[in-house]
Amino acid sequence: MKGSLVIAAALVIAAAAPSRAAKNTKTDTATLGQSVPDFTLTDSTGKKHTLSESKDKVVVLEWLNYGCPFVKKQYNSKNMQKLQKEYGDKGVVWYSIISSKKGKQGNYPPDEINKMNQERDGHAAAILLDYDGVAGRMFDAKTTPDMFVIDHGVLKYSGAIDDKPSTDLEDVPTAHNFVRDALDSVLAGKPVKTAYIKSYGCGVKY
Amino acid sequence: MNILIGALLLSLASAQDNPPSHVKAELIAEQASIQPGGKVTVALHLTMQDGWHTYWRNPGDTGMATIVKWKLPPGFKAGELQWPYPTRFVGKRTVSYGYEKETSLFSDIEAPASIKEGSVTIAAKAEWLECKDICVPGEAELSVELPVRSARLPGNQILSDVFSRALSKLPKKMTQAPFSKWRFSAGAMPGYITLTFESKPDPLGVHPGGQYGYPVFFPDDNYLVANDRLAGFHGYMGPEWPASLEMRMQMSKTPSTGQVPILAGVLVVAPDQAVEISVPFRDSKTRRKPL
Repeated sequence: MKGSLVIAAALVIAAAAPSRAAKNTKTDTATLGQSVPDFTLTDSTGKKHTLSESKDKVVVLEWLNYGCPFVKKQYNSKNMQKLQKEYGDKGVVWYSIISSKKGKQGNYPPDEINKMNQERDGHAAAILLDYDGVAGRMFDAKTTPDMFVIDHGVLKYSGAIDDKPSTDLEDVPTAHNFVRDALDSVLAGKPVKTAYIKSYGCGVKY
Repeated sequence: MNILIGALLLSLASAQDNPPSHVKAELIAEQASIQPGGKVTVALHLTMQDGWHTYWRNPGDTGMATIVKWKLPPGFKAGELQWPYPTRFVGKRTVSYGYEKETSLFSDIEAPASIKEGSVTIAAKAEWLECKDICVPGEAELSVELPVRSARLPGNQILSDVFSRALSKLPKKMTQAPFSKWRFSAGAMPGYITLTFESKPDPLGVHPGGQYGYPVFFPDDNYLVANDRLAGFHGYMGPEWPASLEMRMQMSKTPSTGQVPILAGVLVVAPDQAVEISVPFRDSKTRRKPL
């Protein structure tokens, strides 16, 4: 009896697999090499942004939680701001996205976010508030940071910011930055060599 | 008075820089002494406050593996860190692997034959990430002093208990009993990965239940097996049950950066019964191709 139950469970898994694959269409969930789904979010200054408005550009999505030690590593070392500025100057649209649910770490009132951004000399085009996690689920953002590079509406890179999964500031200068690689490639019109590296960090506080 | 205020401010400042740790770290040695040319097992023992956890060698979707940086006297050598099997922490969209309450990470420290009677200090810097609903990095400089004796002294009972609790969770090798009599194989099917183990003609003596009814597999490679928050690990009892069991694990939907020819990780077949798995995939044609 127990045996048949276990077999049944295995069959359910097998049966569930095709529908899961079917769900990964571009309308639902972002998939590498495919057109990204669209979202509209309000930023920390009250302005609305729709992703598809930048469909003729290169866009970076950076999942953000100022309280997370892995994010602190990037901001305290000024690495994130440097990337934002450098590629912002090259016409890249850089959105930082906060998907922390109300009451969870990283969910702050907009004016506090603006203050924290100013203190850190942040250079993102906007900090988007995704407090109900719609964009986070759309991109299956798992950690902060979790990085996405979109070129003309197509997802070209997703995953880790670099190859040093630590909270140690000293690791930043020697880390290999995958977002930089991906951005340099798409800006040069070349294919992205490393399209996915498992992201590391704190869990997104959905 | 001024001095007092100064001290108070100082302590406030340091409290902010270093939030109170929810993890206590100690370095403990299995024996009370070390012999010239001998070996002593030393453990980083972590005690976590309720609700807090630290991470396994593969932290899964979030977190960071604990790091031990040994600082040893000249000529001493530290063996590879040995990790007890972890538990799963299921988040909203993530699954992570780590430890709650307490754990010990072991290393065998070898002394050179040339050391003289006296004492030696085994020291290490430990770095970890402690998480509950938030994560805080933790670190500690630790040491344990051991007398050098030509005869081996017995360890103390409290430490022995700590050791045996964690040691029982250390995975055995595939060449150790009872696993040496088992045959392991791995396969890749569309959407899932299989790990089959058999002990024909004898029964495995394993309960086949899924979702923590055992067995459970903890992958070393997140690119291959999904860290599935749903019951990702299912036993499939074929006609040769109870001498053979196939586990099915959801394949990671994220693309592999290259071919992964081996299924590696820790298989826990029952509480305190785990084995370190490293099995080549059965048929290279069914291996996952990179995108």
